Amino acid sequence: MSTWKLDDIAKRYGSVRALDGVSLTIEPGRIHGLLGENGAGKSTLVNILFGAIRPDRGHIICAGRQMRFTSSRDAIAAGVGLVHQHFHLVESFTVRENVWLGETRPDEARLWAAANRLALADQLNTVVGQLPVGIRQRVEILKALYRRATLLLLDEPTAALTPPEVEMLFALVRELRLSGVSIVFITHKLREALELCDTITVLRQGRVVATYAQAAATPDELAAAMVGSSLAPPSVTPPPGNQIRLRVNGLTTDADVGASIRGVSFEVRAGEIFGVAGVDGNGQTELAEALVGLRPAGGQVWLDGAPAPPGRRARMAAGLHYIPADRCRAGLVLNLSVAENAVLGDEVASAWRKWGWCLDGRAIRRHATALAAQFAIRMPAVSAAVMALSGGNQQKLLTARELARKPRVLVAVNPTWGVDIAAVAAIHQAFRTACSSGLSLVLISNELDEILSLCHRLVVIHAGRLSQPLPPNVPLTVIGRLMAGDAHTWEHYGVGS
Amino acid sequence: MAWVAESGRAIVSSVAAVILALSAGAIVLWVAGYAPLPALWVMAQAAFGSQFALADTLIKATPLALCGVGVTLAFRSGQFNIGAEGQMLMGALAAVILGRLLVTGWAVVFVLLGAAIIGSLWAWLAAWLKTARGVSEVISTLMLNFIAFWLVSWLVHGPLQEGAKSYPQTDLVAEALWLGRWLPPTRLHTGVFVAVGAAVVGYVWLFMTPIGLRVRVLGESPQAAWTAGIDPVRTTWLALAVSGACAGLAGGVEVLGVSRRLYEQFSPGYGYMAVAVALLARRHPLGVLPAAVCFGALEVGAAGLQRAVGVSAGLASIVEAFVVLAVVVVGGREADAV
Amino acid sequence: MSAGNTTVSGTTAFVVGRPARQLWLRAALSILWLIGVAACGGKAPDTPTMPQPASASTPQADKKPRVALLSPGPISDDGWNAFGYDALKIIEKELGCEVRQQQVNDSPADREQAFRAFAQEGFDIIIGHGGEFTDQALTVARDFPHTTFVVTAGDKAAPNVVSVVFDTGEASYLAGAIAATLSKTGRAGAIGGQNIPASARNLYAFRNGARAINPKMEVAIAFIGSWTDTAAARQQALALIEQGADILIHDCDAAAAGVFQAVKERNVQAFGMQKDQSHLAPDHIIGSPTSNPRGLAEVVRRILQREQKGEVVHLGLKDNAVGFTLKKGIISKELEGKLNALTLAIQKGEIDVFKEQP
Repeated sequence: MSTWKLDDIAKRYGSVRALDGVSLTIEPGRIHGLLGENGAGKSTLVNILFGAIRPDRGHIICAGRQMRFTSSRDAIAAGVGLVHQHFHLVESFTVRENVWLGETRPDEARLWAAANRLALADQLNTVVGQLPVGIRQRVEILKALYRRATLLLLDEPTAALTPPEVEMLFALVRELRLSGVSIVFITHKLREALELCDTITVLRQGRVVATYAQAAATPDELAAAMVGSSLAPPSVTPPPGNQIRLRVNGLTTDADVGASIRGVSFEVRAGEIFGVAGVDGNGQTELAEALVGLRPAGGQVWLDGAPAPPGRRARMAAGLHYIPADRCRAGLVLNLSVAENAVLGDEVASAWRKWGWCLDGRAIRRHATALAAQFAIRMPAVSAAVMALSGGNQQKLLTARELARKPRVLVAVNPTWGVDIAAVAAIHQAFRTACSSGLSLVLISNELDEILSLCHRLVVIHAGRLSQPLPPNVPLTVIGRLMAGDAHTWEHYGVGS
Repeated sequence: MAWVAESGRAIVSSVAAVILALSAGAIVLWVAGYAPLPALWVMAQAAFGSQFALADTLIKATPLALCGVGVTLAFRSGQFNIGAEGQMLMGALAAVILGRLLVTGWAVVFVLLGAAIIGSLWAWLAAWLKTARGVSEVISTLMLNFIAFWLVSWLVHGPLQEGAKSYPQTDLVAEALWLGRWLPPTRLHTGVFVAVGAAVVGYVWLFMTPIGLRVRVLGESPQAAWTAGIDPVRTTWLALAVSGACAGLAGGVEVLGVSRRLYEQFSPGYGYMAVAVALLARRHPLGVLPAAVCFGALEVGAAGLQRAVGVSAGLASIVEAFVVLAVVVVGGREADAV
Repeated sequence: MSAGNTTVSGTTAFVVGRPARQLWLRAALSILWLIGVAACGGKAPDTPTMPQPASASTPQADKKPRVALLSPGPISDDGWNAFGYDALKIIEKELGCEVRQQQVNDSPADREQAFRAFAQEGFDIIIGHGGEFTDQALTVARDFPHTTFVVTAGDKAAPNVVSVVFDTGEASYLAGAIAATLSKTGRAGAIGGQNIPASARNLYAFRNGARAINPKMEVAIAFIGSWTDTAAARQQALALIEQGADILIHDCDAAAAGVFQAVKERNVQAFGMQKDQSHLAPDHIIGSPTSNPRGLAEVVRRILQREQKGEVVHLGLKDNAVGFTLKKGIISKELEGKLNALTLAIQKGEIDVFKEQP
């Protein structure tokens, strides 16, 4: 067990300084939080520690010895293990096969020892594709421990997890700390850092802003350090009107793949933010796609008292718009420009055309520039590919695009997933503003905080069914039990009870 | 401007591909005992050294460019259409048949239109197989190439064989339909303008119309296209049909401009080479033009190498193959994108 | 904790770098290759001739005459194309000409382009080796009146277009006579490549020869549609053997390897074609009708000396341009006498070997 030191690490890509003289010390047997917004340099730093990227300058020192990593192989040999945000597992292989990938001399005894530490011994022969996400993450940790990692790097480990899985992960990390492993916990979520980490280092724009001991840090202080200024306190969502904007009756989908929606009914008023909370995979995507006309569904959807026409484009024309969960693959086209993405879905509108058939490039760019200005979207140019934008800026672009279409109803799924604090605040504020001028927002999110702070009413979705609408001040334990599918609670809060 | 840097990078990498290819070819020649630089110079002379050389290069480049535009448009929609060969053959077939029925000069337009329509139908077949039956277009377009080839082969040996019945070829199409030669005494025909026109129209269609945007969205991200309410079936059909129309047009132009009849070995693999042309062009319709000239020059230059230096045909083909290979190597990431 | 002092925007930290660097590496490598190759040098081609803009109108008397050969296939085919190349070698050595050869795709457009390219370079004689060159020779000949175009196996002529027809059929007729005498089953087979007139005439002459000896002799004639498809040739040969043929003849150029393969498999006999092909299946080949490349060289000589006008020249046994090689000891004295008599009669023109034609 040894102390790791980073000394004056710098890395630049072209004209961008990803890291600019970062120094920090990772004490043995401690959980060291690395907190920062997207693009602050966290991932670059982790990849340098893991030997995947070579720094332009600076040293990595372990137990007083200067390390030279020419590849990840060297870093692994020195006891560094990295659990990527997106797992590097072969889904059709068993857990054991995944651990042994690339090993020349598999050591069964060592594997058993490591698996026992992680309570994975029973699952060694299970195919990874059949395991839930939380367990897969543990398989990644198993890979690192099997290779005798003493410094474990966890890159945004909670991003894909449900709340119970997060709790299990935290417990596991604390156990590992007891056994002397040093852990670097990379996150952009304040609460997690405060709850778990012994030491918290805040990165901003490639530099270390501050390092706190856990006891000394306050949420406000950390948030201010991350974004570089203190945030305005969240404003309150104005109360909704009385008019019923969206009425859904008996909405049902077929379960060809994934979950299905089973007879869902609810009403949303003009100006109301209606939250749908739940654990991922309980029919959220299906509900959203059925609402916006992408997925054929039984039952009825009314908009302002009129039946909504079938088909996505027809519902868009009727004022029903959509922010899908996966901004990279479903919401935006990464290889196309910001301007082109700004009119995606609306590309036939006459506002973007000249001479009847030709896309008016200037009008489109002007539109994109206006969106960018309104939402403070940072980008090289409106003609740059969306890929060049950070996750937060991408999400702001997506939100801006949909809100600019003046929707009557907007269905948003996880609209702040993997986005930095400042962008979350901007997006939430945009929702509130739009709702104050009459937008009905159906907010489907697995961030309970988001739903509780924004919504006028919320429902819990579980196994394709909705609970009764609940006020946001309902006890958290109730929501938790509903999300977990507790039969007794559902009897009480289910529809029709 | 980002796009300036981007196209700059694309051009640099394409030029690098050509340089890499030529140096690989030079090594082959050197190993075979020829001085490489003089040999490359001979190729350059044969391809660009006189108005005749230039004309020959452009004549070869014309069908390559038309097929290349077609392949490019299909690539952009995410369809790996390697069936330009078959679509071109079907276009040529349509041109020859129409060229028998319509014999006045103004009918040229209809003959070419017919060639484009038949070519697009042939490509649409592959699109339909994909959307209705889930057949990969890579396989179906390739198979349709063979069907087109053997169909033409049977027709020129049988029902469509020339009146004299000597050779497996059709009669000449009516002289009134022949494309004009505008740079006598060279054989350069007006089909060159058709190719340039197709590239420009292809560019405008792809980058300046709502439909083109939809095609590109589908090609870059099928899921985003679906989410945005873009009908993937109809867009796939449309993209492949337009792609096939370009290749069919290539067949029609080649019949009316160069061969004036159809025969078994009508295309020396233009449709396949068009895939390399599209990759060298970085899937850009306007980039297809220089890329096609490059490959046309290579064909003519290789023949010139045989004529002037006595390099054997096999060796000349090896040099050509190296160029294609180098293009694919350097353009590999592009190919992955498709 | 140290911190640097420069502000960055910090959003686009990924993707740049690597691909571009690899690219430059590749480019640099290729240039290095080029330089290295140039420095090492190589055998210089004997003064590569650049294509000259068209003015073939002033042939200079003191310059070496230049002759080009356009081959429809590889000159290593041991058949038709090798034959053309042999002729070219004779033209080079014995007539003192500068010669060039180019293999041309099977496409009218490419044939025309090749004719034009050589004509523009000022070649005196351009030989298109095969009847399929006829149309393009006639077309290009109009634009280059001072160049002579020779088409082997062609059937048309113009003032500066000479077609040379090797009546190989005369020798095939003899082969037919041998086949009729040696066959035990009374059946023989003839396998053609593409069904073109010259080839069909040749195979029908074989049948005519067989029927001259045995009027009931059955000779099946089949075409495989290719000059190179050995698999198809083998299949066709096996089919004919199944039907009872015990002697085969072919006129399918490089595809003949398949015929000989089948002949060896089923232990029957066969004739070669064009050249003495006995080495390809020594135990099974009776003999080969041959064309003599000197016949073609002779026509070229006459053109150079302005003795040859544009016409269709037929060459046969009497010109010594067509011949017949025979394996020793395979035929009786009696048959040999008969063959000699037939040869004489053909040379005198008393027998029409092409009596029955396709």
